[in-house]
Amino acid sequence: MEAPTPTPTPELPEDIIRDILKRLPVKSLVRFRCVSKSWHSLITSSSFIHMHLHFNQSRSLIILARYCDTLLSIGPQQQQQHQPNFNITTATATAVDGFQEAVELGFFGLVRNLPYYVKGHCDGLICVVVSDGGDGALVLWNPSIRQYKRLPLPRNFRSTREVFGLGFDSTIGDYKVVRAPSSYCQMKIKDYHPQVEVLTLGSNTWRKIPDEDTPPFCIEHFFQATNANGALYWLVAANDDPFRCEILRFDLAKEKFKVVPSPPDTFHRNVSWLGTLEGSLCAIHTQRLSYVDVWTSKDDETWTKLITIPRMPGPEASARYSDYVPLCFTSSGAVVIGIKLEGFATYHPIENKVSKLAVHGVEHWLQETVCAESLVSPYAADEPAAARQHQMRSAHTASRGLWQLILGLKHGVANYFSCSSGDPRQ
Amino acid sequence: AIQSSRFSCVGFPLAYIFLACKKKSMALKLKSSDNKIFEVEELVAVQSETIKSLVEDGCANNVIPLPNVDSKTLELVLDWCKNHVDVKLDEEKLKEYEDKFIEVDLAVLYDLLMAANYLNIKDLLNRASQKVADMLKGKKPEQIRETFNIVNDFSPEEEEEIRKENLWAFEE
Repeated sequence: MEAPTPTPTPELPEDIIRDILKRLPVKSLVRFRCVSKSWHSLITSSSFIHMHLHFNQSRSLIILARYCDTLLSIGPQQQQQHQPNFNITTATATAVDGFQEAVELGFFGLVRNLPYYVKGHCDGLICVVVSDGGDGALVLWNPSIRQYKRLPLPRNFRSTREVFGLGFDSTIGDYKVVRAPSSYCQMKIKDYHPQVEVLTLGSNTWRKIPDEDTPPFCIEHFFQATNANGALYWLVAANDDPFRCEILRFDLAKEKFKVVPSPPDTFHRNVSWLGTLEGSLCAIHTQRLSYVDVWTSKDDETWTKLITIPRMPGPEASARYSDYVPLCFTSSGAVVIGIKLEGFATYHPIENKVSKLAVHGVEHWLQETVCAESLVSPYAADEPAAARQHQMRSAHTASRGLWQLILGLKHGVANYFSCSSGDPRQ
Repeated sequence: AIQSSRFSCVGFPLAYIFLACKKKSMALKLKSSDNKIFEVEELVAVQSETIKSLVEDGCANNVIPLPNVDSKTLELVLDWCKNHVDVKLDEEKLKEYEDKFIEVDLAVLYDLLMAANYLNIKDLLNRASQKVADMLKGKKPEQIRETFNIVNDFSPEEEEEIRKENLWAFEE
C-alpha cells in the first residue's frame, strides 16, 4: 500500500459516510458515484439503496400522467433549498416546499405523443404500458435515476387496456409484476381469457398462476394497483351487484386473491378510491359530503379514520362534488390533495383548513402516481451491464424512430393516430 | 496537571442542568484526549449511550477516559447534552439552540461527528450528519474529494464512463 499524502482530516469511517449519504437526494448520489471506487460501490450497493429508500419514504414525487403526452412531476425533487427531513411537526403549516412547479420528466421520448397508462408503482419504480403502434411496451421505469427497462410482454398482450400491478415480495426480496384480468378486454375481446401471470424481476419471465386462483373479477384498466401491506389492491365491481365496489387483494408472497372488507360507512357508500399515504393503505368512500374521511388499514380487517379533510367553501358544484385524493405529506406536515379536474390543494391538520395550491405547468392530467424518490434500479441485481446498455440503446432507437414518424404527421393527425393505436388489437 | 485543567473548566456553564434534575444525580468525571477533566451531572453524561453503559456496569466511579475526544469537542458535546436533558422544555427554543449550535465549519462538524459516533449520541449524530449532507448536496465530485481528502482511484476512462451514463446528474 502506498502511503497517502498527509491529510488534515482522515477519511470518515464508512458507517458515518453512509449515514450522511442516505440523507442526500438521488441526483447528488448519482453524481457522487464517480468520487471514488469505494463511494461507487457504497452508493450502488443494494443495502445502501434500501437504507436510502427507507430514510426518504416521505420524500415523494407526484407523477402526473396525461394519456397522450409527456409525464410531469411535482415534488421535493424540484426544490432548490433543501429542508431537513426531521422536525416536521414544529414547522409552521404554510410552506409547501417543492410543490409549486411541475416539470416534464425525461423519458427518452418513449411516451411522447403515445398513449400510455401508469399501472402501478413500488419503491420509486413505475410500471407503465405504452401503446407504440407496434406490439406495445411494458416498461419499468425509475424517474429519479432516469433508468428504464422494457419487460418481456406476456402472451396475448392487449396493450394499454391490460391491468398490471407492481410490488415487492419481501419473502424472496424481489419485485413482482402482476398481470390481472382486465374488464375492458373481457368486454371487447372475443377470445380473451382472464388469467393471472407473475413476472419476478430476477427471472424476467412470465409465469401463470394456477387457474383456480384466478379471481372471479375483472379490473378497470385505468385503475392503478395499490401496493401496501405486502399485497396489491384494486377496486372491483361486485359480481352480484355491479354498483357495489369491493376491495380485491393479491398477496404477493402467497400469490392468492381475496376480497377484504371495506371501511365502514354510516351512509353505506361505496369505496371510490384506494391508495397509500406514507406507505399505508388508504380508502375513501364516494364523496358527496362536506368532508372527506380517509380510512387506513394495516391488517385488511380493521379500518381506522386517518384524517378528515373539510371541503373548500364555494357555491359552485365542483367545490362540493369534485373528488379529493390525498397524495402525500409536505415536509411541514400538510397533506397535498389532488382535486379531480380542478387542481391541487393542501390540507393543514393543525389549522384544519384546506387551501388551493397553485402548481405551475399543469393544465390537465389523467392519473396521478405518488412515488418515492429512490435509487432502486429496474434491472435485476445480477443483470450484466452489457445487456443493460444494449437494452437501453435498442429501446431508445425504437422510440426515436416512432417519434420521427409521428413528427412527420400533422399534430392533430398525430394525436388521432396515436390514440387509435391505443385500442387493443381485435 | 489534572488539578489545573479542572480549574480551567470551572467557567463551563452548568446552569440548566439542575433545573431538570429531579432526583439527586451523581457527578461524573470525563477525561478528554488532551487530559482535561470535565465534571458533569450523570443525567447529562448518560445521553451518551457509551457512557451510560459504563455507568450501568459500575465502571464510572473514577475518571472516565475518552481518548478519542479532545477537550474542545467534548465541551461542545457536553453543551449539546446539557441542552437536551429535558427535551420537553421548549421545542422552539431547542430548535433555535440546535440551529445555532450546528452552524460551525466542516472541521468542527467532522470532530462532532466522530465524537457523537464514538460516544453514541443519536440526536447529535443525526443533526451533524444532516448538516454535512446539506453542505454536500450541491457539490461536484471534485469538491467532495477535496472536502473529504478522498483519492480518486478511477482511471480517467473509468470516470468518464460513469459520468457519461448519467450526464443529467451533472447539470446545474
